[in-house]
Amino acid sequence: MSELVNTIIQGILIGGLYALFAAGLSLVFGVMRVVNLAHGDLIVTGSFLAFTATSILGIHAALSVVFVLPLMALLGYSIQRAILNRTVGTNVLPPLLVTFGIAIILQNGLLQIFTADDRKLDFGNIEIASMQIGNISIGWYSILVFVCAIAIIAGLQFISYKTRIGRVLRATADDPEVAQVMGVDTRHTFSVAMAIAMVVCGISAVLFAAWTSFTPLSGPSRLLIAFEVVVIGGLGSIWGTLIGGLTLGVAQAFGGYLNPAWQMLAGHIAFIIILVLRPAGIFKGR
Amino acid sequence: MPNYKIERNEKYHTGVLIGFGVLLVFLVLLPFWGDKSTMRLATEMAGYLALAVMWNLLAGYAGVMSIGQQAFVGVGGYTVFTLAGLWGVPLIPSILLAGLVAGLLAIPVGLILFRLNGAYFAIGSWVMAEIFLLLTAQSDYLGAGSGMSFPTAVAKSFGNSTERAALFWWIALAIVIAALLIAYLWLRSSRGLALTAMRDDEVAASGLGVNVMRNKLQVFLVASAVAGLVGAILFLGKLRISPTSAYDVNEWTANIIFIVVIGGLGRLEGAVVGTIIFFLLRGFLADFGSYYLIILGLIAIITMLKMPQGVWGLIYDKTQIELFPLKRKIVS
Amino acid sequence: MTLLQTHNLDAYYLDFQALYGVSISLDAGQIVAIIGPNGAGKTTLLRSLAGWVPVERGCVTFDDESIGGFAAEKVVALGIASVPEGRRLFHSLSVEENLLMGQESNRSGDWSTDTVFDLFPVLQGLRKRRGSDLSGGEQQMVAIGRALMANPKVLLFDELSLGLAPTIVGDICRTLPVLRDKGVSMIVVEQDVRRALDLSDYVYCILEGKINLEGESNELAFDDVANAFFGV
Ligand SMILES: Nc1ncnc2c1ncn2[C@@H]1O[C@H](COP(=O)(O)OP(=O)(O)O)[C@@H](O)[C@H]1O
Ligand SMILES: [Mg+2]
Repeated sequence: MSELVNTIIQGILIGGLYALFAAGLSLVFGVMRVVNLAHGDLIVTGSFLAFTATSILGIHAALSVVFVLPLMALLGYSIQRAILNRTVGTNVLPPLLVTFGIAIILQNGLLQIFTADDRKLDFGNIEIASMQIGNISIGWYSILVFVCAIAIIAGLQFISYKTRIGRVLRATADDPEVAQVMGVDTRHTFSVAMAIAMVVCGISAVLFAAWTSFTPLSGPSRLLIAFEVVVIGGLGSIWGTLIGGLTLGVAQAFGGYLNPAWQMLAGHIAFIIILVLRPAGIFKGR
Repeated sequence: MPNYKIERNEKYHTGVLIGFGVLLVFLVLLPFWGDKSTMRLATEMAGYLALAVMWNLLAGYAGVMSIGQQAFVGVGGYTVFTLAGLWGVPLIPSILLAGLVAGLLAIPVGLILFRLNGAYFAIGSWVMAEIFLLLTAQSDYLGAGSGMSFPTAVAKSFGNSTERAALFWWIALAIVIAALLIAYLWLRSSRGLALTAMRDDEVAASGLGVNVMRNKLQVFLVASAVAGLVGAILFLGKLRISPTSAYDVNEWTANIIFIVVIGGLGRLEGAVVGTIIFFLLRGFLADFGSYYLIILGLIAIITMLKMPQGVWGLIYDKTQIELFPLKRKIVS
Repeated sequence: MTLLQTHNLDAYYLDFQALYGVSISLDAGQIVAIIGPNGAGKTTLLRSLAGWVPVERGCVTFDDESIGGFAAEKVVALGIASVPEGRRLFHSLSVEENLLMGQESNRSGDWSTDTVFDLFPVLQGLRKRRGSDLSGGEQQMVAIGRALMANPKVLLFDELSLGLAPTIVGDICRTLPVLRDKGVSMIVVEQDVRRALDLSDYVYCILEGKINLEGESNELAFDDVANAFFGV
């Protein structure tokens, strides 16, 4: 029994991270109406940047964000500015195909540089330390991850609703033409949106890189998680995204409890069930 | 009131037909002039071409952007290994059943996934393929994660390895011809018009009485059945199947997308040209490891941004040649 | 002094030509009305001025500078702001946020949310409401306020009265002279001929993409304008 409770708690805690994966995807879709098929590979790129920073500089894994986040922001901004802006406002196919191409390039580029070996970031003692409540034990690292996730999501909410850039992003999402007539440089705005999404990806990339190991080919599974969370939680609601993340995390944890090989499968099946029951997700839009 | 009728561009029709006839004879006779490795390459090309024709029908005409067709390739492969390999069903019925099983599976999959539109359908289809992979990997009967080899005794009953290569080539040729004919006749019929109308504007098309859901489902079913047939014949040729190779998104979808984009999305000829270009590139770049895929990705992006009509689109703009005449024009 | 001018302006939507050699001019402190039936090209003309539709460089001059083909965000930064047809508020932003979007052009001046609320006091109480929750008249006020927040020299106002209750239209018409006194010149698209003549100094009548009548508002006879409007 306590083992089951443990897995469920574990599922909830990782769910926060899944919500972060999804927040980036949903931000990009919300503003640009582009589903970024390279999203997962960009997360994995973040993990490799962290891995490189820690192994070259010998710094603590958590400190690698100092390098990872600016680099991810720059990468996101440039990809949007140089490539994806050309596909905004066309029909669905061009952005999908272009981001799919980017995904293939990133995967194989990483494979070329880092080989297919499993890598993992090392956060030190916090990874094994845990908190004991009765006979339930919760890892401090999982708690840290969850707290970070909630903080980032709250931060995104703050940016969206309390800052000028958030206002411009929401206005551009509503009506890019009129935003431009008001003086917004929409190409820049799109690129900033992508940069913000990539910063969120960078944080989740660092946190997840110590949670489980990763390879250059881990991107698609991250993308699918992010996507499932968005569909479960409904578009356009960041708290819905959080609920979606927790749902998926718990479903996976429960599947893994029944049989370790069913973890991913259980997540996918939960997604299909929710899709069948509620095409618009649990939280419907705004 | 003037009388309007609809005419197709059939200027080159007879010439093209003769050309096709000669090419067909040449291809059917391949086992008599080519060696085993040529036959295997040709079989693979035929499989890719059939997949590309169907993906083009899906994405280029019906606006259904699937990145999960590997699900049906895998199902086809595993079905034929089970039927012919484990249960002793004869070869041809096994292959046909593989197509049938894949096609039938496409119905529930489509009914669920078509609740997602556009880009969301694309990732949803990928999730579905992932589910197929994970379920297959759970099945001990199918060899679980490590997959299965086709029983040697059964393989021998199809002939020695050269005879087998010839047999599989003829079957693959039949599959690709069937795929081309289905796509061509479909697009020539009034359903073809309905498809393009849907792709251009789903809401408007349904306002004109097009049953969008049924049309999408039909195309998806046929494309998935063909994927099943292709999976069956290509994995028979390899004599080995495993979940990761059977449901490989790069192999069965990324490559196919590349072919269609390079050749020309929404043009039947595009799949043919794209397949030829793909195999040429693969031949030239084989020694470059993962750079090869990076280059393919770059070419696909550049094509999409700078030349969205693809190579055949360029050729068509210059020459107005249609190998498969589909363009309609209204004359009075 | 001429502030904004077009010279033989042609405008296209892909292959379709919507304007043919249109020449208009707006003096500082003037209100110019554009009238014409649906589909005549009025919106296209305003969009050409605002940088929303691509046009050739020399076709548009503002303050003696050629601005044709400038991107929309550059045009507004020079001081030409728009009240678009159909208001087009940002529907998920509050009234206040909609107004603040008008400042994205970063032009300095006297306009602020407070001065907009002085001009349209009803908006004060609605400041936290979503743009999509307002009545048509309130939306029009927000759209005007949003444009004013750019501290414009020229206001391009499309379809002043379309779909609005008559009392609201009266209120809005009364603000135009106030704005003019604050140094804003205006081009106003208005389909009601009588109202257009009343509120403007100069009128252009446009039909099928061409100007077919123009003149001082107080010198033109109503019947001539009405005939031009219907192309007889
Ligand atoms: N976005 C567009 N794409 C193509 N044609 C357009 C577009 N907008 C307007 N038009 C066409 O341009 C012409 C002028 O339209 P518009 O300027 O909107 O007229 P008005 O504002 O006078 O009603 C019309 O024939 C209209 O159909
Ligand atoms: Mg108009």
